[in-house]
Amino acid sequence: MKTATFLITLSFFLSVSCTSNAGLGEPPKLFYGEDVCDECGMIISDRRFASGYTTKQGISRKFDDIGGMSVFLKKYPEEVYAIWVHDYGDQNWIKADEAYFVVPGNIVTPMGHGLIAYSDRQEAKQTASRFGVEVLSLEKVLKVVETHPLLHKH
Amino acid sequence: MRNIWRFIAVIAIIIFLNVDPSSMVKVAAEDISVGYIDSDQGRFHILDEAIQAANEGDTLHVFGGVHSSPVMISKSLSLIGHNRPVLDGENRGTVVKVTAPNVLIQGFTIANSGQSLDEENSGISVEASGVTVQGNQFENTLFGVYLKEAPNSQIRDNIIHTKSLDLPRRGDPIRVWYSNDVLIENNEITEGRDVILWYSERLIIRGNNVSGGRYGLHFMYCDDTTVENNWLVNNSVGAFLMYSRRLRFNRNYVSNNRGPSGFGVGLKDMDDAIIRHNLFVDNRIGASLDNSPREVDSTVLFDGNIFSFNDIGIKFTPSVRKNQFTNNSFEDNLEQVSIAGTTKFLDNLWSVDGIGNYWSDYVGYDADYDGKGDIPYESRKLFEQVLATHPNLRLFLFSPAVQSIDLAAKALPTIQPKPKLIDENPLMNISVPPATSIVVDSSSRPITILSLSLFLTVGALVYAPGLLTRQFDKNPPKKLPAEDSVLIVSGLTKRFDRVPIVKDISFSILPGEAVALWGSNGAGKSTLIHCILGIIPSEGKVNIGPLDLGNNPKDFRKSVGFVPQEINFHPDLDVLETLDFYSGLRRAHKSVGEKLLEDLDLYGHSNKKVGQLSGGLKQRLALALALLSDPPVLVLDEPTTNLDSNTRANFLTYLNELKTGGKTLIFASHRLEDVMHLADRVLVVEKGQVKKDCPVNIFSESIAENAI
Repeated sequence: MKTATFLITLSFFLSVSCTSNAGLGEPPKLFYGEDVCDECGMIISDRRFASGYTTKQGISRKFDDIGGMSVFLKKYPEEVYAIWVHDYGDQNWIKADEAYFVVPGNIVTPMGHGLIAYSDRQEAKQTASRFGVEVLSLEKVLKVVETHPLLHKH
Repeated sequence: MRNIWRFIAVIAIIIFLNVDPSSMVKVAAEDISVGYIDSDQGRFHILDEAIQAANEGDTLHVFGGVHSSPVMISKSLSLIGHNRPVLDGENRGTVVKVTAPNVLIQGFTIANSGQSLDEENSGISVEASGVTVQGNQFENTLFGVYLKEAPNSQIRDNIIHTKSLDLPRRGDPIRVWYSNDVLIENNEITEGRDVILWYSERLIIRGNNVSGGRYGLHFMYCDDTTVENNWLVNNSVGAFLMYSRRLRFNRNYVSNNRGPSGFGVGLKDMDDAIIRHNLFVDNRIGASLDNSPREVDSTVLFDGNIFSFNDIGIKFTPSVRKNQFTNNSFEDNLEQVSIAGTTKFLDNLWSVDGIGNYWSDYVGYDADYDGKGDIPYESRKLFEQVLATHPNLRLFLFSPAVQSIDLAAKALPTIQPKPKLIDENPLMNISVPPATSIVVDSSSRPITILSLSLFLTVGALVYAPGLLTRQFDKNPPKKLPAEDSVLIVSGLTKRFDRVPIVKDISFSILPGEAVALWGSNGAGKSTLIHCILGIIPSEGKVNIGPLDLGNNPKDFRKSVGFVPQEINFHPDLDVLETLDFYSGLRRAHKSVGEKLLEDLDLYGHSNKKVGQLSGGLKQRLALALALLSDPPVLVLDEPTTNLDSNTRANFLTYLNELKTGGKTLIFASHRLEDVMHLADRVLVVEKGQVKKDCPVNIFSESIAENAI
C-alpha cells in the first residue's frame, strides 16, 4: 500500500513537470469534437476555421475561429513561434504568415468573425472580388480584428 | 347497412377528436393519402397551385397527403395542416421558404431537406416578419427553422429532430439571425447541433426541451432577452451566453451537459446578466464565467441557484470581476469553485445585503440560530490551487497524493494557500428556488422526469466529496462492533482550529435499534451527527454495512436519511411541490412520495403552502423527505425541538413505527421524554466524548440517581 501511494505521488509530481509541450515546428494536434477553444471555450468542430499557434516555450494554443485566435493574442500577448490556419478549400494546415485572409461576409464562423484563409493568393483574390472585399495579410488580421466578431453589423 | 356503420364511426371520431366537423366530412369524402387543399379560392390537389391562386390573407387547409417541395410562400397566408400532411423536400434544398410577412405554418410534417451546410438547407426558412411556425414536426431536415431578418416571429410547440449526422455536419434545429422580438416556446428539440440565437434582441426563449445537441442554446448579441423554464439536458453545453446585455436566465433545469467544455451555462463577455433560480445538476462545470461582466459599470448577478453534483460548481477565468452571488446553494460539487490561472481573484461579492450562499462543505456553526454561519466560509485547498495552473492533474483528484498534499497544507500553515473566496454570511441550509416549476411543471413531460432521475443518479455516481477531505484513522476501533451492526463509527474526531470538538468516538448500532445521543447544548452531538453524515470532514471511519463513508460516499449517503433540527422549506411551495422537488433530488419515484404523504398523514395538506404549515406538519414533511430513498438508517438532530407536547408525542409515535418496521435510528436530543419514548440505547456525550454507552433502562436509573 505504501509503495502504491508512493508511486501515485511520484506520478503526480512527474505530471506537474511534464504538461503542455508540443513540437515547435508543427501545427497543433487537434481532436475535432473534443478539443476546446482557448479563447471562447467552445468545442473545435469545423476544420475550415480551426487555427492555432505554438509559443517559443513549446505551449500550443487551439482555436475554433481565426478571429478568436487574434482576440486571444490581443488579450494575452505571448512570444509566438508559429501560427497555423486551415486553407478554406482543401482544409490542410498552412502557416498563417504565408496565408491570404478574406472576410466574405456570408460565411458564419464559430465565433462570427467570418475570417477564412487560403494558401493560394489567386483563390483569395477571386473570393474577395466576388464579395467586394480586400485580401488581408496575417499582420493586418491581427491588427484589425477587434474583441468582437467582425460580422456583427451593429 | 355497412355505410350506416361507417357513417356512425366517422361521427364518433369527429366527436372524439373534437375537430371541426365540416373538415372531417371532407376528409371522409376524399382520399387523405393523396391529400387536397381547401382555400377561399376553391379546392386544389397541388399545394403550389393553391398558393398561386390564393389572395393575401387567405387560409389554406391542407388535408393529408405528401406534398413535394420547395414550397414558396410569398404572400401573407395561413397554411393549416389537418391529418399531418407531409411537406417533403426529397433531400434537396430547403423545404419551405417564406418571404412574406404574417404567415402561419401549422400542423405539418416537414421532412427531408438537403444537407448542404453552405446552402443552409432548412425545413423552414423565413425571411419576413411576424411569421408563426407552430405545431409542426421536423424530420430529417438539416436545419429546422431558420429565421433570417424575421422580427416578431414565433416558433412554438414544434418537435424538431434534425438529420442524424456527425455533430459538426449537423445543422441547427433553430437559427435566429438578426431577428428581434422573437418568441421560441415549448419546442422539443433533440439531437441537433446548436440552437443559434445571434444578433437578435428582446427574445423570449421559454419552456423548451433541448437535448442531445452541442450547445443547447447559443446566444450572441441578444440584449434584453429572457430565457426561462427550459430543460437543457444532455448537451455538450447547456447554454452559452455571449456578448449580450441584460439577459435574464431564470428557472431553467440544466443537467448532464458533459461535453468537452461541459458547461451548464457559459458566460462570455456578458453584462448585467441575471442568473436566477436555476438548477445546475451533474454538469462538468455548473457555470463558467469568462470576462463577464465585460464593461466597467456593469455586473452579473447569481441569485438563488442550486449547483449540485457538478464536477465544478462555478469556474472563473482569470480577472473576472464584479459578479454577485447571493442565496445560491453549492451542494456536493467535487470542487465548489474553481479559478483558472494564477491571476488574483478579486472584487466578486459572495454576500449581498448580508445574505451569502449555502456551502455543503462549510465547517462552522450557527450559535445564534439566525440561519447564517457565525464564521465565514473560506474555500482554500492547496490541491485546488495547484489545479488552477495544471488542470490536467484533475485525474489525481481522489488519490492519496492529493490527500497528503492537503493534509500537509493543514499541518503547515505556512504553505496553506490564501482562500480563493470568502463568504462572510454563509447560509446554514440549502435554499430551494421558489420556481420549482422546473420540476413541478414537468408532469406533462414524462421523458424529462425520467431524465431528471437518471441524470441525478449519474450525478450521484460521480460524487465523492469525502475523498477530498477525509483522513483515515490508522488505529483500529477500540471496541469490536457486533458482526451484524448496521452502523459502525470508529475513532471519529473533529477539530475546529485544532480544538477537538468530537474526540475519538467509536460505537456501533444494530438493525432496528434506536440510539439516542444525550447531552447538553454544545456537548458535540450535532457535530458528531454532521461527521457521521459526511457533511463536515473528520478523521475516523464510518460504515453502514459494507459501505464506507470515506471510500464510497455516494452509496453511503443513499443509505442514510437525515432530519435536521430545522429545515428551510420554501414557503411559497405547497407540500406536494416540495416533495416533488426533493423526489427529483433523491431520485425517488413520485409514487414513493405519495405513499409517504399517506403514511405520515400529510395527504390532506398536499396543497397547503409550506409556509402555512404548523411546526409538527413541517417536521413530518422533513421526515417524509428523509424517507424518500427508503434508507435503512435515519439520523435526526433534535427532531422535536420546536414542537408542542401533543405534536411531539405524535411525531415520536411515527418514529417508533419506523423503528418497528426495521429502520435504524440515531437521534440527538436533550429531552428526557424523547429518549425514554424512543431509544433502546443511549450514548451520553460530554465535551465531545462518549462518557457512557448503556441501555435506556440503565440510563434512566442513572438519571434518577443523578449520576448523569
